[in-house]
Amino acid sequence: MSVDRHYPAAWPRRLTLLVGLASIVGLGCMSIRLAPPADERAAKQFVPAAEKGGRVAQYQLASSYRYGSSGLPLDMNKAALWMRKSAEAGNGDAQFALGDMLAKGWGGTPPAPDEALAWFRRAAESHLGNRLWLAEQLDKGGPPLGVTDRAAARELYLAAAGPSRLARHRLGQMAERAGSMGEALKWYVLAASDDEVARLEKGMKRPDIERARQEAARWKS
Amino acid sequence: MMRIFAVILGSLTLSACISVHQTPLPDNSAVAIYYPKVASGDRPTEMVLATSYQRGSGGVAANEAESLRRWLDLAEGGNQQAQMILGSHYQATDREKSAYWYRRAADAGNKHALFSLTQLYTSARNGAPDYQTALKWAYAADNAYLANLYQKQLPPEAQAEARRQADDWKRDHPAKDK
Repeated sequence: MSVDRHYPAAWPRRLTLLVGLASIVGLGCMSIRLAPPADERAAKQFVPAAEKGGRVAQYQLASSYRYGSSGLPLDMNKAALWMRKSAEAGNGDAQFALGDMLAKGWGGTPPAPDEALAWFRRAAESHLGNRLWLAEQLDKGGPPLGVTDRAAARELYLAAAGPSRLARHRLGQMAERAGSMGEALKWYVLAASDDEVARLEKGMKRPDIERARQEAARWKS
Repeated sequence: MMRIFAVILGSLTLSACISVHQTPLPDNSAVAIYYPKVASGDRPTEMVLATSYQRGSGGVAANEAESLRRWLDLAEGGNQQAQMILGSHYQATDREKSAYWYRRAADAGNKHALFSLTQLYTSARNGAPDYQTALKWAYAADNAYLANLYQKQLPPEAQAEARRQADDWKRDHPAKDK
């Protein structure tokens, strides 16, 4: 009798318990992962501007092909095509990237070090970092360029000597290697490389030191 | 009444626990966000872009030349962080170049550069350890522990020379408050 009376009222309580338990134990930790949407970032952002001749967008499009990102497949030929357009429009970053691509080569296209070097040189004209990088590569040889050309490295450092303390230091090292200590001292003084100045002055005569310091002062002005 | 309560409670717990994720698109920030900023002359972002090329993140592959040329440019412009990165970039391969960049950072007042210099000269990875120069930088950094360590490797006259060089350096580069 009493069981009958309580039977309907007990159901909602059990339902609550059941749903609550189920959601905590099983269903509760359900996470649904949806597939990513179609990647149209390159097509929407870079392509229209690149076709209009924007050299930044051309570089972005070329980089997307180069690394296979922003929704584009990795395609070095198309990358080189767009990179060349941007480079010819005067984008220093594209000139450097094209040089890097040509120096390494890619599937089916062998490395072209001469053309790469020509692009690196153009890139060096507009950017101090490019110039210092190229001078370092030419000085030490090795990949990616694989060319050692100390005279060309010296020219690059001379062109960068105005704004760059590193270039002046390297010119000092080159002169020291060649055995002309006066010249080396002048560059070290200009580069504020105190240790090297002290080391050279120990082995030099008074008038030579004076002359080198005068030349340094003249170069500064 | 009880039934309504149960339904509300059930749907609340269910909706709170079921999560729907959209898989994000692959990161392309180096090309899409940082590059246009750098192209319009944003120097702090150039640091981020160089790091992307170092690690191969943000939609580009690791490319040493691309990161190196940007660090060289930033370091020449007086960026201490770039100078320290260049120091560690050359640390394992070229002691002279590494020392040059740590020196530049140290001259500009970076205390970590002094410690890096002691480590550079005592490491056997790129030439024989040079304890006298290491001792000089340990004195310059006022690092008594390292100084004591290196003193044991050296005769008294070499120690005195290191002390003299460190004092000269400290005189020329007074400590900045930082």
